[in-house]
Amino acid sequence: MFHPENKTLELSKLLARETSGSVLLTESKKRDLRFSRFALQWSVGAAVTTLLAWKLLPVRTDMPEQLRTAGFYLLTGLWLLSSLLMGHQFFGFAFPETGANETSRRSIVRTRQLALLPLAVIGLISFSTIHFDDLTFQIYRDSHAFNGGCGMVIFVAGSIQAAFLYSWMKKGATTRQAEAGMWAALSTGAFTSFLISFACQNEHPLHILIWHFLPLGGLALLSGLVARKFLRW
Amino acid sequence: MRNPLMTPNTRDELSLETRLKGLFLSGIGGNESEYAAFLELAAKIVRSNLRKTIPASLSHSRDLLEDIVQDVLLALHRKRHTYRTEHPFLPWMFAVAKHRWIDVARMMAVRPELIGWTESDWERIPDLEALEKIERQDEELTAKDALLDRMAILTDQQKELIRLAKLEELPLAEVAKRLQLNLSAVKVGIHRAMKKLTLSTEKEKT
Repeated sequence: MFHPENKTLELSKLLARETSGSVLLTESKKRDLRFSRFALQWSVGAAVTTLLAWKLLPVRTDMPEQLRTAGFYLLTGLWLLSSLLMGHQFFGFAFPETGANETSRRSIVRTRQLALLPLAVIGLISFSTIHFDDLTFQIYRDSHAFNGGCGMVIFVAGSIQAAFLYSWMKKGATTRQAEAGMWAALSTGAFTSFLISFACQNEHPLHILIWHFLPLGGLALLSGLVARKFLRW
Repeated sequence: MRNPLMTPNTRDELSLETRLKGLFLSGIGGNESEYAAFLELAAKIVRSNLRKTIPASLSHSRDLLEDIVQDVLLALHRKRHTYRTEHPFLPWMFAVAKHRWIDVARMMAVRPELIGWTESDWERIPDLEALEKIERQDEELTAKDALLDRMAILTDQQKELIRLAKLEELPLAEVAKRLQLNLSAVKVGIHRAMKKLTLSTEKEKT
């Protein structure tokens, strides 16, 4: 008679055979989850996105003047910093969430909030320059703020770079797929925004909020949904 | 409240953490037999937790239960590289197992939260004594299954005799009363049935 427990025993022996000798070496190379490996994958994705941006987006005409202003460095620096910090958060999701320990759970939350800080600063800077007392007039006067394909660029280029991060994450064992997907999109979207700041001349706060922040949020949501299916294991 | 997974301090908790971690690390280092031992022990723990957590309507099927156990073992094996040696082992093992079980439950269209299943169910360390008891019960069950399988060659009356006297371990007088036979007929019947079974086993061996 056939016993299901024997089948499990056979499976254990079969799997154990896979851990011996050369199989182990090739396996470990394929499943390298070190941070350096992740950084390399992130950089490859970033290089592809940069190449695309360089080929397709025109450099802003006021670039020489911008390079002499501290504000430009602050804004682009913040985009890059938020991209890197959020990328680092994404890396952590490659390992199963073992956070039964309350202390470590709290410390994770703190770091995650920290990763969002540069993004929050950019949002605050943009938001603080809007004058709410004559908002209607402002919207009418600055209708050019509503123009722009930056959102589309963030969506497309961010998705391309996110694909690199997804392929890396497939090697891991994330137990929070949706969250991992969102952090991937936030990181790549922020990096695209960093690149766009060399091409987009429109610095109107409404433009930044509508064409840079909203697509970033949209991309994060979409990525979260895709990741729920794609990052399953 | 103390979480036994993160801060094991009883003898069983410490012993299980150390034993599993040792077997696992040695196994992924290339020691085949240690890795097989790890998987066998992991299977026992997973089986024990599943029996306590999955609904009775599903757990009655040994095949289904074993399918889930095998699924979890495969997940532990495929994701073995995600364990970081400086961290405690059991939380990692349970995180992978729990995640895989939720996925399997979804595939079976069972919503874990609707069957009263909580995350902490996976954070329970079964004590080793209980595990061994379960193992003994499993072995007995398997032996009984094997005997029932062999009993196909017996007559209906012989089957009943073996079932009552050997499997249910009733006194012979009680067996005789139930089957409305006299005691010597019961003894002879059991003897012949056992002889038939022994012969069939020997025949199979040769």
